[in-house]
Amino acid sequence: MMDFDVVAFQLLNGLVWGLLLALIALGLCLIYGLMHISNLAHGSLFMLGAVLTAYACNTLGLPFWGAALIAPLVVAALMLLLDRVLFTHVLGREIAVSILATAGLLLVIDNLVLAFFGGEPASVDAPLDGAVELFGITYPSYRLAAAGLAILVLLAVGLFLRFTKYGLFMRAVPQARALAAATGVPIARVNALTIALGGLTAGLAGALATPITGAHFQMGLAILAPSFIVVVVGGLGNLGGTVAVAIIYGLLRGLLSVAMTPTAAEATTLLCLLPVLYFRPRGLFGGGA
Amino acid sequence: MDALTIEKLHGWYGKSHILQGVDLAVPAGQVTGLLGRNGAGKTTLLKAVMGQLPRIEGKVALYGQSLDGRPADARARAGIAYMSQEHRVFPELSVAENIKVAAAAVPDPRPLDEVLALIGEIRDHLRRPAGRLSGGQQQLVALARCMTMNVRMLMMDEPTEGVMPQMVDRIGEIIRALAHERGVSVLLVEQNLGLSFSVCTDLCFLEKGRIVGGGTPATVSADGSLERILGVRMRGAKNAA
Repeated sequence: MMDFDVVAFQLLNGLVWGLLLALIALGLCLIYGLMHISNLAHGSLFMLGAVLTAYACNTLGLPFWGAALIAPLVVAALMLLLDRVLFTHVLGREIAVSILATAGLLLVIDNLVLAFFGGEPASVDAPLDGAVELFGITYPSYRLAAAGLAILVLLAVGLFLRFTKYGLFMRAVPQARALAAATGVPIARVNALTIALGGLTAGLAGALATPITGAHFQMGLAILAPSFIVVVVGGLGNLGGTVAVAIIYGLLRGLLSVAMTPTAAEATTLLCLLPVLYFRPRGLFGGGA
Repeated sequence: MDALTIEKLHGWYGKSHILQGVDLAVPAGQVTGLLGRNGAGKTTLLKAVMGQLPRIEGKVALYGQSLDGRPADARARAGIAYMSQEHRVFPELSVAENIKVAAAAVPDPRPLDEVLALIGEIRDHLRRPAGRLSGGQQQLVALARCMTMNVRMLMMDEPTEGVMPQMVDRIGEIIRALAHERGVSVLLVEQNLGLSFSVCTDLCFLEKGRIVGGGTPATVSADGSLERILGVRMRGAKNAA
């Protein structure tokens, strides 16, 4: 491969990863914006999506696309349950309470997965073999399909927020929660929907990542720091900013991977993004709903 | 018939016992003014009726239907609206979306045409973010949102605070139209005594978390309770409470 080919390949890898990260960070951003809960267990939802997909494919024998549909729905259902038993009770309390509660949740999910699914990494064959010619390089078809699906889901969430009744409620509540309640907006239902949507998108990112990264009970921890940094640098509660910074993050990480190991590229990318907060404390695109 | 009935209502912020047994009835289709010095508990009373205080005891009923134990959004859907001082509009939503939130949230919203027929000033601003409007325009948007909710009871907290004098008169006109033409009962907390006296059919005084008196604007001026409780006289008392 020529140097340009390596750069193009890594940039495409970075774009795919950035789009998956955008799916994860979107839910984190929605939950923070609406409920002011910093969900430290959000990376575990991504991991759960991946582990359930691998289990459904390898043990239950389901086709990949079926598993990738079911796993995020299971994660969303789990989040609906957690909304009742945990998030509702954390809502409106000090930030330390939500941090401790969701840190505990992270440990519970990760250890339950370790207990029931084991600690060995699991891999899943990509449902699409082969590759396509793109910008003069050969790139795996599945990764492009995963990126395309991520874009479609991000667009669908954007359209949902823009054009539906509950989308309107989800944009209104973070701006003035008490006013929304006094206007008759069903706050508990909006919270539950937001929590479930966050689980769905993180679980889907995990499912789509499985043929690329495999599945392992600790993979959620690795994604947690980038997810939070993307949400904060994008502007807390700013969905468009979060998605944009996730893609920038992916591209930068991909570019740096040309010259250094993936771990060093990850650390350097985070170091490059953090100074943004010194110059723009409200994030690159400002906080918003 | 009374639209809103409040019996022995107590309310707390943490350990502070703010409302100490409020009894109040707001007659249907009329504007009732709630007057009191700063810190008397006026805003706290409205929040307690709306179910937005951390701790509440006592009874609140809307046209005889109990609202006790229900969250604020359920109370709103039952037909009571609250225009607070703190949040008038959803600032980043357009004016049209501010109204749409109300239309989507309640079971029987009032049509937009009917709202614009009374509050036509906002027609030219429907696409603008509500947070970029002036204070007076934002109050009109808040009124339009409450009107869209098609409520039977409207509670307003200082609707003229920070708005221009001509807008004060306009808000007064709209309050009168809502009450007298559309049968909406209004509980109005307002420091502008000129407006309170011009739109309210009844006034009541809140002091240290209790209702301590009341009457028509004419009687509270004549019997000295206005001066005794608020420390002002009606003549030249505008903006002085």
